[in-house]
Amino acid sequence: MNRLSLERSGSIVGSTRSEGPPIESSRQEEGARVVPDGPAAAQPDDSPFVAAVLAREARAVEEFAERMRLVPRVLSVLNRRHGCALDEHELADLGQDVQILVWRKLDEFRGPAVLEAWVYGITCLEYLNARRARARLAQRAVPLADGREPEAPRVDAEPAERATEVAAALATLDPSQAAVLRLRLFEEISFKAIGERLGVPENTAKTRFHRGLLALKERLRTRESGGRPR
Amino acid sequence: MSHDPRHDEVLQRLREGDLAEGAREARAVLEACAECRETWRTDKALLADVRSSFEFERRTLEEARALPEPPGEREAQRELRARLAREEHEPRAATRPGSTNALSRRWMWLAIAAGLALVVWFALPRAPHPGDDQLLGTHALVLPVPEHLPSGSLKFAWKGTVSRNARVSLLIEGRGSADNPWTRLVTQTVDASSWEAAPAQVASWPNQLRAKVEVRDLNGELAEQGQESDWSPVFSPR
Repeated sequence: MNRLSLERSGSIVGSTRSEGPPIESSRQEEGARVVPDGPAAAQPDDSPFVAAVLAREARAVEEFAERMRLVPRVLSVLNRRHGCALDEHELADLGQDVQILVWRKLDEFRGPAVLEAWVYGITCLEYLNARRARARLAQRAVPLADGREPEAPRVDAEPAERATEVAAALATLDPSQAAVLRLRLFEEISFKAIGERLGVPENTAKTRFHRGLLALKERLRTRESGGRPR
Repeated sequence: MSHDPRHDEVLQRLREGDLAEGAREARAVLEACAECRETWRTDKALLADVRSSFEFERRTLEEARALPEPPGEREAQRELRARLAREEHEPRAATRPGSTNALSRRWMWLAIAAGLALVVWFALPRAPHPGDDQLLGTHALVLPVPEHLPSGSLKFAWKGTVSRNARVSLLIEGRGSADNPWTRLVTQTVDASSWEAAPAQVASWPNQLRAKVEVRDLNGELAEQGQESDWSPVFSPR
């Protein structure tokens, strides 16, 4: 197993912005965002680790179980930021379900990426699904005498709501598109550097960026038109 | 100025962050073309949403790591470790290089397991088992906008996997216009992965439709949380 990869990825929190001084992009217009052409080797990648887990290497499996402790914690933080929409028992059950789902989907993980960032997207998606299911059950359990539909519980968590919706939608994108969106919009590195990191030409990175944005826009529109509980 | 296809390049560079909104070239297009202005307004909001979402993720993960043990963490760990101890993850493990012997052994065990499963299948009565796991990769269940067939029927085809003891229900709702509430038109159990609505039925439906699929157990009860597709985008029956 690649111990270096374990130590490196185990020490980071999801994904972090690239450190170091920004370098001017080769094609900067007046006032355009400055993005670094960071070194291609700087990207943490859990692909070797995930391959080792899937190959049932004992240390990797142990490390994977340890790293999955993050799931109930993330759910706990998400739930607090969403106005505690789920109770403790629901949250505990969901934690188990998400961990098992992650294990089952592990062969869909595509690098270069950090495991925690990938797991976070799945966790957001399942959290929102669980909230929807809860709202639906609540509606069935308390029929109103006058035939009106009962309102879904309101929470004062609008920014968290949007951020979680976007994260959930990102989790359903083609991984190669999601990776470019992350590198460009979060790590803020140039398309040239993104191409180097992903081993594709700069123009391919740009194409994935635009297609990813388009797909994301479509998914968010679909979720919004689907009458998500607010 | 009306929209010119050459504007698209400017919009593309704006999205890429290669061109600033205040740059002369961008200002010229955005001030002159209402369509570009609207496109850029929504795209800029989306880009900001994605950045905020990544930032939210960073903060959430940081906070999550700093949390004391939350409720359920110990139980979740126990369950996960039990799964890891007893379950193989075949797809990737089988392709690992240098594991030919392990692979052969695995195939042998798989063949034995398959044989035993067949024996059990024929020996046992076909009864639903309440403990059967119906967990899906939930968001993998997708119902796209249906296909309009030349005959006037509508073909609904969903994608995804459900367990043997599950059924899929197709729900179709309709409304006359955006001001009206949605009304349930169809609740249909679908045994195959597609279902066609007859032309006469389609002709009776209102102008706006939406559909989704839900996973139910053999008793018709809705399966556990989230085992359903999103509502499809709104579509017209004709």
